[in-house]
Order: sequence, then C-alpha cells, then structure tokens
Amino acid sequence: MKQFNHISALLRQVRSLPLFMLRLSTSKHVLIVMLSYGLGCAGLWFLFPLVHNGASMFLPIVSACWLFRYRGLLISLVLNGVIFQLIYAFLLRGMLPDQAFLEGGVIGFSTSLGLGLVVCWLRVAVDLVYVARQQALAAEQERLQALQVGREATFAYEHQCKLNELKDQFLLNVSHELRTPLTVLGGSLELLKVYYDELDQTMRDEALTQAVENHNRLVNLVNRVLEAITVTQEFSPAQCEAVHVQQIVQEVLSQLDPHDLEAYTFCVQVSEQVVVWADPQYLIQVLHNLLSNVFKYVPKQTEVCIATIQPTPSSPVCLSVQDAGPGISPQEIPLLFERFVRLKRDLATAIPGTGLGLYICKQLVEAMGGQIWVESSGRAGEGCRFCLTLPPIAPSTSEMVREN
Amino acid sequence: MRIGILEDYPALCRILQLSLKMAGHTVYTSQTIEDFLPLVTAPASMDLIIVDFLLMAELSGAEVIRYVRTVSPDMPAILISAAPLTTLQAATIGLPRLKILQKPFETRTLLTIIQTISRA
Repeated sequence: MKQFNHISALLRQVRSLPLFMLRLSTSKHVLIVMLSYGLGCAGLWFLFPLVHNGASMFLPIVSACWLFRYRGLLISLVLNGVIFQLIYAFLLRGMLPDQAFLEGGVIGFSTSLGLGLVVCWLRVAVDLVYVARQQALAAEQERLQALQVGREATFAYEHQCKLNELKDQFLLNVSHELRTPLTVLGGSLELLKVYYDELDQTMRDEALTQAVENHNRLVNLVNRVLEAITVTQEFSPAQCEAVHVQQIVQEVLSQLDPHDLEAYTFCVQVSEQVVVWADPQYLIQVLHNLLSNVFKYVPKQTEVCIATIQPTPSSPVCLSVQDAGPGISPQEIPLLFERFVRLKRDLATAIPGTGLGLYICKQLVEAMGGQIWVESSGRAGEGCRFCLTLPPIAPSTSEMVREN
Repeated sequence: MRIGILEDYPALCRILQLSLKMAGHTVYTSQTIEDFLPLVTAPASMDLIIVDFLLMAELSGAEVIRYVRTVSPDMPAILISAAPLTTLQAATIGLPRLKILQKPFETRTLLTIIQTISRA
C-alpha cells in the first residue's frame, strides 16, 4: 500500500512534466530537443534490428512539436529525414535504396507527420486554455481592483462625512458656548442699566464681575475659534535641531500654572542624555497640549508620569505622558487625533474645548518626522498613555552636542 | 410671582435671580435636578418654572418639565437654551403652556413673557 502511494505520487509528478517543460526558457527547450535527438539516434543505432522502422525517432518529433509547435514539426521532419538517410546509408553500407526502403521511408514520414500534427494540436489546445485562463485572471484582477477602488471611495466618503459631522458638532459647541456667556453678559449689563439706583453696592459689584468674567470667557472662545481657523491652514515646516528632552520637559513644567502642578504628583523619568532631533517650540507645544488635557480631564491628586524610552542610541526616542484618569474608550481612539474631535462624555460637561489640541499635536509631531498615538483600556482609573516618537540625533551631531 | 429656576451655569443662574428679584418676583434657583424637583413639586409651591434645556445630567430640560407636569399639570414653564430652535421644538412637541426662549435673550423679553403668563 505504501509503495503504491509512492508510485502514484511519482506518477503525479511525471504527469506534470510536459507542462513544466513549457515554462522553461527557449535555450532549455533547444537543449531538451537536442537531448531527445541524442536518445532517438542512439535507439536507432543500437537497436537497429529491433526497431528498424525508426520508432525511437518519434521521441525528438514529439518533443520538438510540443516545445516549438509547427516550426518544431517542420524542422524535426527535415532533420529526421537527414538522420535516417545518414544512418541507413552507414548501416546498409553500399546498398542502393530498394523499394522496401522507399516504402518504409514514406510510411515513416507520414506517421511522423501525423504524430507531429496531433502533438501540435494538443500544444495549441494547451496554449488556448492558458490564454483563456490568463484572460479570466486578468478580468478577475480588474474586477477586484474596481471593487477596491469602490471600497476606497466609500471609505473616503464616509471619512469625509464623519469629518463634516465633527465640524458641525464643533460649530454647535461653539454656538452653545457663545450663547450662554452672552446671555450673562447682556443680563448683567441690563440689570445694571435698569436697576442701577435700586441695587446695593455688593450687587452692582457682583453684576459687574459677572459681566467681566463672561466677557473674558467669550474672548477666550473667540481666540480658540480663531486658532481653529488657523490650524486648518498648513503648519510651517519644523526647524529641527538637537534638543535635550529633559530641558524641554523642565521648561514646559515651569511654564505651567503652579496650582495645576501642585494638584498632581508628577514623576519625570527622562534621562539627561536623551537627545532628539526636533523643533523645540513644536515639542514644547505638544507637551503643553498633552498636559493641559491632563489638567482638564484627569482628577486631581493623581499621578502623572512623563518618561522616555530609547532601546539603543540609534533607535527613535519614545516620549510618553501617562495619567491615571478616566481613560479613553477604544471606540473613540481611532478618530481622537482628527480635527474637532471631543469625547462623548466631555461634550456633556462644561469643560470648554474645541477638539483641536490633539490634532495640533499630531501635525506638529509628524512635521518633526515622528508619530503620536494613545494607549488606553478605557477603564476609569487606568488612565491613558500618550506616546510620541522622535528621531534620534545623528551620531556626528551628537558629538557636537556633547562638546557643547 | 414665585418662580423656580433650573440652570446649571452658575453665573446665569445668579443674574436671572437678581434681575427677576428686582422686577418684584420671588425667585428660587437650583443648579441640579436633585435640588430643583423637591422645590417645585411641593403642592402650590411655584407659579412658574424656568428650565435650561441642556443640563449636565441624563435628563434634558424638556424631560424635567414633563416630570413636573405629572405632579402639577398646570405649571407654566419657560424653556431656555443655547441649542438650535429646531432641536428645542422637536423635544417639546405636545407640551402645552410652554414658551421657548433661545439664548442669548434680553431680560426685558423674559420679563414680558413672565408678565403674559401671570395675566393668563
């Protein structure tokens, strides 16, 4: 049984030999035909008495027709004729061709022709099947490509719709954030105008304070809207230089509101030696945006960790800001760095925001040749970790920095 | 008139309170639904309620009014909001004795509406 399996496996391999030969180069085809001539001639020579009808010479005809089609047939018939003449002339030395020899030649020629034609037709049939299969494959490829193009178009359209939705949401937020302070501002002024004499000093002061506070709120909002308009334009190219990450982190922390700083436990794990190729102003803004998000959304008295990782001196530096806040749900992560995106839960709160901070971060980090992403389980208390990679400094420049 | 106000923006709450008080009304303000409901659902406690539509809660202002109406079916109400008018209209379908006032509004306008309600 085992042997039978071996034999059938072997037969399967032999069966695919003719098709395999078709895939070879022309020079190999010529070689195969020459080899088959060698075998055919040897058969004719050594087995002359047994196969004096020249059956061994069918082998080169079959191989030539299979590999070169009608050209092969023509050439092999001529060659066979010549070879027969030579071999017979040598074997039947001195004897003139008799009638039996001539008849044998005619029969040999016509059977060779018939066999050659059959092989040629087979080869043509195989070629046709091959062409048909290629065409079917091409059509399938085209269909798949069209499908892919269609899918991409749908995706682009959906993405655009999503962005438009976000833009509408942004306008709605702005409109909402404008209307309430405006009511307070108008209300306070109206109150002062109509009842100025009847109000006591404390009430007047209160109304004035409310008016001023809400005026400031409106000014802030208008500034943020202006910022939103400007960020839709191109960012200027990054002015990169060798930057000590630790210095940048210290600078950002020193610029922050001391109250915010005191409200959180900061842990900074940035080695003095970490140097990146970045635009210092861009990097400051990115860190500033990430930290102001922490102050806006993360409960006070929790730990905020700023750290860098660089596996080898030549690998990119990964700078991360990790908090222990409410986290971000995985469904909301893919769109997080798009323009005007705000988390669903933040839309319901009074925390002001335009949904541009992270978008700006992404643009700035990418302008410096880096990447930014967020990792979060979405579970409250586990917080999230914003990571950005920045290119390491080139070795020649790092020497200069060390010298400086 | 005794007026109950539910508005989660403290500054607006305070200014409305002062303005209405100066106009001669008795004003009760709350910034959360939890504080507001016991105030206005006590029998014959209020003559009018003013409710903000977008609240930092699961219920909207319209739903708060509907709830109050289950206890005092005749309670007149004013819904104030920064949301688009169409949203407000859609949310208040089938609510009688209700005025919608879109922010920003003048205190004068609010007082006129209150006057109309008190005469009715």
